[in-house]
Amino acid sequence: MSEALASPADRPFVPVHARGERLEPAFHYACAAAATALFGAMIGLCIMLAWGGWPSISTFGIGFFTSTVWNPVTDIYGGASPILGTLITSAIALALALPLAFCTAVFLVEFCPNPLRRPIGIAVELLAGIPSIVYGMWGLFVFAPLFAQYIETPLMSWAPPGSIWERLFTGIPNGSGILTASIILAIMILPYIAATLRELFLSIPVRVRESAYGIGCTPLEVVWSVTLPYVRRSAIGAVMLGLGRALGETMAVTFVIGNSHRLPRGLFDSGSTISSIIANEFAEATSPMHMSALLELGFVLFLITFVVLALARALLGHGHSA
Amino acid sequence: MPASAEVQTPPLDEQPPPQQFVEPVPQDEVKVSIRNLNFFYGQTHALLDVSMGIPNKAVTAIVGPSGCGKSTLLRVLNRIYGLYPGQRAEGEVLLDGQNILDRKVHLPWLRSRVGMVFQQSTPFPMSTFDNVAFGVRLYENLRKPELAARVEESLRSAALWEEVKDKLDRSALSLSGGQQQRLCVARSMAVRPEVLLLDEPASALDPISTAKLEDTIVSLKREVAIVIVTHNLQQAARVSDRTAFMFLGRLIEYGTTERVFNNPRTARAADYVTGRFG
Repeated sequence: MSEALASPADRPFVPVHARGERLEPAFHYACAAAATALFGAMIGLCIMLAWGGWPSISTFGIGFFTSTVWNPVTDIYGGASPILGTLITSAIALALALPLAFCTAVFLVEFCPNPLRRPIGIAVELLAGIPSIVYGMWGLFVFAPLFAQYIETPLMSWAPPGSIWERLFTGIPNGSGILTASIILAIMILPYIAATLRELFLSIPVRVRESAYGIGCTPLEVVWSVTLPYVRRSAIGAVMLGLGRALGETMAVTFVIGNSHRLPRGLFDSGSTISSIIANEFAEATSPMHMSALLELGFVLFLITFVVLALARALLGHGHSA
Repeated sequence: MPASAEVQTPPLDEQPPPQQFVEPVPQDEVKVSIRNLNFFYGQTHALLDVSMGIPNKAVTAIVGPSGCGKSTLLRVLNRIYGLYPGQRAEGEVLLDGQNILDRKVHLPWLRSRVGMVFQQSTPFPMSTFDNVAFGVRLYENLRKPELAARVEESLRSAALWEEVKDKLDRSALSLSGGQQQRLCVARSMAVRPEVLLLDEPASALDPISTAKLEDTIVSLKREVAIVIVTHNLQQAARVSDRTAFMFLGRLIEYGTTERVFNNPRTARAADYVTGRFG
């Protein structure tokens, strides 16, 4: 044996990684603590909302969900209108945003000429980063007047009396209302969904796309039959991310929804969502019952989000695994 | 030492080996005729003036060291390179006399006639049955029993039927690697192509799966023209009727497999098949 290679016995036992190994337990506990704190915060939030909302829950019971009376003077509160408003605006927003986001992502991955790929991709990501209050202002000052003039008024005068269209287009053509809020929401969640879908499509192995093309698929067939099933699970996650944002979005909606406590009669009518009500009234909720009703609304929003996520998981569980 | 000092006049009876030796394929056997094909990845000139005929109902192997352009040549034959901007081919590739490099060629139509199987298996995320039926459904409106018959026929031709006939509804991703690769062959064959391109189809497989795949290839040549790119010279010798040797983007030697392996005419091909380099 050459002298350069000292035998193991000659080498003093000093572990090279000693410092790193000392840090190991600390790292372990730091990770555990961070995750546990998150879980604890969620539980705490849930308990706080239920606790704070308890006077309202015990007083109004199930009637809170069916009544549309919201009267701080008589201290009687029913949340049907904002709860319904939240569900409707989010559903419409998702219905509008999903096809557009899907097409955007497909365009960026399959069709986009190389020089345009980066600019459009960056634009999509920037759009996702714009603060919601900016969307709100834009919606109120720019979008709403145009929407009232060019969409709402013509549609309302077109709708034949007595038809389903007339009922759908009921409201005041001032640009604020359920549909305006939904459209603004759609614009806000679109980049989220599009950016996530694009990342997902890009994560598909090149050979899978090539073999789909290689068997003679058109781009639409490749996307629909191969790449979309390939990322199905994560794609639903992307959609849920968008839906979650739509459900909880506050400022932009508060700007353009009209903030009325009545049940909206049509798409152009003003309404409210849970978060817009809370944002509008928290500062002026002087009676304990008023505050409690707002907290109960918050609790309901929490539950809705939870149910949406649970539903998504259940849906995923049933399909064949990809 | 300057290069000129090395030049020696060879004896008259011993001509230097040619730089290129390409045996023509008889005209009535040619399925695909490649003429003066040049290929570019952006500025990189990857194929230089490749001309060769690919015979029908036979196996043609393309061999050569890494980066010689053999996969590139294969990817021209179904124009899969067209997915990537910046890649372009010049020259002519005639499939039954029709130039497939023509802009007007309908790509799905071309790819239904020229199928391709890749190095790594690429089952789609669906059942085994749906994988094989996938391509068929794109082109033909078969009724259920006919479709089932086609799927069985294709799986049989890929020597996979006996192994999967009881689990056609299960996800194709649950098959073993070798089965997945033969599934991809079956999927391509289900469309009834005329040419089948295989891009190192066995390089990710174990020896037993490789042997099964090679048997499949040999039996498939009754139906289609097969072009196989391989790193494995023994494999080329076992399955192919003709062998093309490529080097640095050029076709150096092309002829019957037996002749190319036993009696190579070019120095480079001789070095390669005897294992002196590559």
